[in-house]
Amino acid sequence: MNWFAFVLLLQAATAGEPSPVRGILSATPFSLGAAYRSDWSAEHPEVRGGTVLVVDVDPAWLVLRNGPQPVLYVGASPAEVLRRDVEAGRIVVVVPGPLGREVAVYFGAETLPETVTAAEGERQLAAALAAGTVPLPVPAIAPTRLVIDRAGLDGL
Amino acid sequence: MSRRDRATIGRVVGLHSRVLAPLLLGSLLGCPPPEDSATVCAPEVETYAPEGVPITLETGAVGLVRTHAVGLGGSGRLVVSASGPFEVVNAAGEALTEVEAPAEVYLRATGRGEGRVIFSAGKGCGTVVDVRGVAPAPLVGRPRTLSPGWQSATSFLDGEAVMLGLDPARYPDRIGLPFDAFLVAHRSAEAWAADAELVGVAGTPVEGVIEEGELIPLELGAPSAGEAALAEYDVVVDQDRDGLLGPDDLIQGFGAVGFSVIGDLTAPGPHVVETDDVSGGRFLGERVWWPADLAALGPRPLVVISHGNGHEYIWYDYLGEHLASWGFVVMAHENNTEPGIETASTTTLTNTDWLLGHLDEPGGGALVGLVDSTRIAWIGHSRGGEGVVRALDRLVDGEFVPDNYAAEDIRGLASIAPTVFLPLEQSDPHDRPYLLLAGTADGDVTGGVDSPIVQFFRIWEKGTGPKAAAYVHGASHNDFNCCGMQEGQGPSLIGREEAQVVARAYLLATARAWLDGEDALLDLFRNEYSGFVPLSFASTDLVATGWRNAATAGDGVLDDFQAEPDTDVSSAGTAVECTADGLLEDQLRDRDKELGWSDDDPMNAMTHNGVPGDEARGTVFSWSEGSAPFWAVEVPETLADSTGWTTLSLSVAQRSRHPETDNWGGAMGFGVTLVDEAGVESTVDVADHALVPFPYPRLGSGTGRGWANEFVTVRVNLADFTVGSALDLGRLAEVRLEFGEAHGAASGAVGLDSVEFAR
Repeated sequence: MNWFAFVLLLQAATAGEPSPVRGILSATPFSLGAAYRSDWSAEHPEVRGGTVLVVDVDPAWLVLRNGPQPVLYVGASPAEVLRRDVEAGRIVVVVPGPLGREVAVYFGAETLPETVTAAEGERQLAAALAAGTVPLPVPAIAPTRLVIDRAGLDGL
Repeated sequence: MSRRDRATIGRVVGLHSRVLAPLLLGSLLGCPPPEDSATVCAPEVETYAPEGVPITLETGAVGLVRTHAVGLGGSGRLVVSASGPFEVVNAAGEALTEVEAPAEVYLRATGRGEGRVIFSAGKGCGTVVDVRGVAPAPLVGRPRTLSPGWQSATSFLDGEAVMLGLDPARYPDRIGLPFDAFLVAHRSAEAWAADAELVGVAGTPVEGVIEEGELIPLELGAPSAGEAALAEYDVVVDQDRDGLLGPDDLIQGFGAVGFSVIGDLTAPGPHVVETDDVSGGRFLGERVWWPADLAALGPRPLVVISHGNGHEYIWYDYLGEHLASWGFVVMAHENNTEPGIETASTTTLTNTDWLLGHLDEPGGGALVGLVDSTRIAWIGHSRGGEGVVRALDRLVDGEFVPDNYAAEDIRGLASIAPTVFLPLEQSDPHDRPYLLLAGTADGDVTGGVDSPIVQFFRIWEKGTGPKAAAYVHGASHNDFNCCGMQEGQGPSLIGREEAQVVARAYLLATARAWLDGEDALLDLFRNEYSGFVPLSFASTDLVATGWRNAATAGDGVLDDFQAEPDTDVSSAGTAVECTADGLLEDQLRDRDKELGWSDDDPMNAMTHNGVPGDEARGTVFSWSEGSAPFWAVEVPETLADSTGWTTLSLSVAQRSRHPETDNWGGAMGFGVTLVDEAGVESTVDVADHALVPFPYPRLGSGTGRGWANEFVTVRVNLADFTVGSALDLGRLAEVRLEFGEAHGAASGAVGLDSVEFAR
């Protein structure tokens, strides 16, 4: 699906519909003792720190499937998912790097997160904003947590 | 009277004292009249064959097996000569040019064809024995109702009656001769040479005789596989009834297994299973199963299970326990599927490596020294099903170098409803044996036409190794694990329990075949499902089975539609004639990506080719009630001698939602006719042992009812075309597929692919 078609589809799909992403419930910044490379985008960016977000999402959008499925983005990057609670409608994601006071959290085109390039992420963000996605306020930032390595993030 | 007894009396009486009379079979030019020649100059030759009937000699003689014993009476030196691919040998198997009568000698064929063997008394006259050499053919099979009334076989199901079928047209020299038929445990040629005694598995042999007229099947018994997945037997027709395999006897199983009996692959195997959960860290969580008596078994192959997205590695107990009960070490692992296929492939690669490097962990060291790391199979489900294929590609390309195994150690792959996110150059099974298992009711990786990502047959087409397919009617995506949400779409859902019965059988069959060499288990795919339903499958189950030999197997391709796009030219460059409607060759891809029938999209519901760059091509055509069309291909000269192959193989699908498919409304049959260079024709109607299923009647993706086209492989034994026929398989001119009411479907629409001679 090309970008234009996707925007049209997204606009049609979301017209008058509440966003499946209902809000950011918490934000916990972290700093890593040992950096890691994220598998969740094509460039495999190195992650030295960032923020763990707990996001409130329509549960229907959290059910994992194997075929093509919309990718959850935070800003212009696919969200690195730590875990999800489908019944509760909660998903915990890692956002590398600094985070502003608000950020767009939305479902983009169907693909695999690992294939999304930075340029494609920017296109997805632009498409989402054009389709009416409203950036969400980031709750009060908790104190930065020091974490030894990637495995430690699972405990946040 | 044994052969030794006969030899000691100093007079050759032949091998069938109850039926033999000395026969003078002919004379050379210049001899006195025949009635005088026997006493005047022509040597006395004793054989069981009636006068004027050539002796049928099967090629492939070793020692005296597949020879014919001839008694030479009188006395004096005889000159031996032969025309055609025949020779005369002594008891030591040495070719003779002279022989001192009286003597017993043996005729054998070194090739196919007709000829004569002459025993000359050196007085300008001699005796002529007419002979013909034929390739060995299966002796056992199943009676069928349609032409030719017989299907030869090399595999049976446990408890199935094994029938002997000796065609009087093939063995006219043996008509009326009684024989003893033995089912015996398979022996190698060396073992037969060391011990020729016939010991029937049922004790006494079955007596029989070839009657003039049609082939009359004779039940030999219903052998069992016992506790094994597979048991191997030979069958011997002891023509001289001496209780030994020797001259004149017929054997199916000399130098190769005669026939196999396939056990109940859905049932637990003979081994008690132990299990343990271990972890090497993040994405290295594993559940391991192994036979409790592994130490007694010695190093066993490793089977790895890679789950799909949103699945858990602890959801495959049904499969891990099953395979371990049949003697495998099995490991299911955490799979990193959510980022994508690349990450999933990584966890398959790393978990395999970690386990092989930490065999001391499961069961407190129960696996140490007992896993054969050179025999590994990967099974993946969904994204994991693509992940295992991608993992192999990375190994082959050298992108990932494990510490404890290598690319060549991956002996087989199986994908359960795999995605196809990556280009096929990356999700490439290469030359590894490959199984595709999927359900027609899959509500996740649907197998439908709307997206190439869900068209799993694309991966199947990409592989160049031997490949099997089982497309299970009414099975859904998560039927193949314990606990995923039930998302099945369509009628007659078979449910998780039955889907796992099916999965256990097919995954065990391929694991045993590809890791343990039990190749005959693959006959579950080589035989079309309706004629060879695995034991313990529900009577309502329906599976579209497919099989393709490795690209390097040397199949004789008549038309695979990969070249020569003109519909009147085969890919082999020979003429094609078709009298059906709407004949078209093209890529096997649905162009409008929806299933409702449209004349503008004749490749509707095709899913073996999803995007430009995919290579699978085929042909389609249809017919209406009242017509009797055919599709025929000229056999190229290079393939005219088909005797190097055993079957004619082709892939056929009914075209989903096509008006003529719907008009017919059920499973369909067709006829296969071979024509030789002399114009002799022989037809096998497949409908009583190979049916092309009616497409699964699933709704959605446009108007109508039906889902992706289900290609099934139909293989017809070439030997069956010679039953009651003089067809010469060594000089074939045409292969013709015949459709219409007389052959099993008054109307219909089919896709066709890979018409070839195969083994």
